[in-house]
Amino acid sequence: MNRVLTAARLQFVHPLVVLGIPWLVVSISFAINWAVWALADLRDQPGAGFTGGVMALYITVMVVFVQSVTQLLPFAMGLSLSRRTFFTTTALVALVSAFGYGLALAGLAAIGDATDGWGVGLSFWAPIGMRADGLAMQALVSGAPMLALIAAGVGMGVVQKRWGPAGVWGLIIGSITVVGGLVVLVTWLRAWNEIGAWFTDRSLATLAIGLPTAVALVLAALAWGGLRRVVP
Amino acid sequence: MTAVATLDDVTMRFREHTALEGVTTVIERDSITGLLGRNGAGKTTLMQLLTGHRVPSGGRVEVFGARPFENDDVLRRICFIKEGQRYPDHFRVRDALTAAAMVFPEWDAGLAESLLRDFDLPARRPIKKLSRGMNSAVGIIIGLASRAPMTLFDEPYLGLDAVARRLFYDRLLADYAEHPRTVVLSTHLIEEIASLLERVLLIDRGRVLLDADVESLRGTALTVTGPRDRVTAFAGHHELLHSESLGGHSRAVVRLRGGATGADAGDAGLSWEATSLQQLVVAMSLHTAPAPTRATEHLEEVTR
Repeated sequence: MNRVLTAARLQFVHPLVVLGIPWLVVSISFAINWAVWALADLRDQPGAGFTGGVMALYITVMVVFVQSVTQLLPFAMGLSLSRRTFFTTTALVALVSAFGYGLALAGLAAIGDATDGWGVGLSFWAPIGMRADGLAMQALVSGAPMLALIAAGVGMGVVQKRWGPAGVWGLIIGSITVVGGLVVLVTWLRAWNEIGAWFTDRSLATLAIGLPTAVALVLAALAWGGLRRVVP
Repeated sequence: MTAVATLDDVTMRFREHTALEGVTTVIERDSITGLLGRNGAGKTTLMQLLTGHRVPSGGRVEVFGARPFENDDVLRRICFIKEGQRYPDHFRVRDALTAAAMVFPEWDAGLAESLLRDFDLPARRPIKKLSRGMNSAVGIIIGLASRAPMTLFDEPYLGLDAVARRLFYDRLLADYAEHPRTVVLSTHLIEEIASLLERVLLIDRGRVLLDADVESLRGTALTVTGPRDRVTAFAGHHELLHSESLGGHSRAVVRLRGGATGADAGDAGLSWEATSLQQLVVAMSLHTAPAPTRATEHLEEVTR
């Protein structure tokens, strides 16, 4: 356990990069959105009030975790940390990060609500469809998808470390083929309405907390499978 | 002497080739072992097995009495410094040392500081921006200051100038004298480190060619010169490793058998000198190289 905590500290040896960059990126995204909302007066235009700008934060955090595998793992193993220790540490940091980001997003969303959408009617930090009642619930709804993306990032990092560029291309081509195949299958079965109905029948908690958490668990298990024989 | 690490009939197979085959050896506690061999001989693979970075395809590897693979209890006592170690892009020299200090239980911060000065490394510069030699120096500092009970250096000197290499050897020897530990050092610069080594493990194309202590080698490896028939006769009683002839004159590298000494070569009418470690390694590696005739046949087949 001691070693896991030590390894966790490794992830924050230079915290400015790990924590600073995602917030820098998302604040630029926020600034752009705010300016557009203010200049175009989007508050008064029905149906124009949606932005997914907060995705910038999710994507950047995912990239940070890709790098935590591709860059930190070889170094950690160079310092004689086992793969298991590294993975346990990463999982721990991922959980804490996801919850921390969730809480921060919930807080920012609450501020947005209290200030009439930052003065311009902008609902940025928790866009429509991702809104929940209460700070704790909002933290989970915002944090669980973050956990899924972090797990995806770790998974991509593992593929890159274990199988190299060929693995990354395989992952990209494989994903496109599988997703494309599913789209064709669903269209052929004329099942889009059923699928749409299934999703609308689920509660927000299922879709925004349960589903991402399940995805995160599956991806984490796959990532560990790939990581077990990685040679730095 | 007790063993820190044992390899028992270890084989490591990759898809296209066999890196190690039937390797059985022991790494002695508190000794400096030179791991020698040509490029691609299997030195790095052997070190990766000792440090749990790889699992052998066959045989058994034990370090500190247990298998090293994913074994934190063993790994915490190992420091493996390899050529081309990657550091996270944003790490400065200072960050790498801070990280190492957190991980290695016996880290000596004072030693790290003094080595930093010796190698004249800028602590605040990103490692990415360092020259090749300075990058190697970061690894050397971590390796020495870790004071790990088993420290492995895999060609740690890349890009280091002669002065810095000398510094590394001196500091290694000085710290080793004060804090004895097990050191395994792979290198091509045999002449430079010969005086440091207590044991030699020579591997060639995945097999152990030589596993001996340097002291005993000094007395048994000879280079003899004289008339060809006399050299041939003398070599017949011993192990001939390499010979070259010019006219009726021959020069041969032999390993003596049955407690023979240089005086016996003198008695056989030959002049002799002790073979240096480097000459011995070259002779033994050439000895097992594929016969040149086969190479020619192969070439002829291609051109036909």
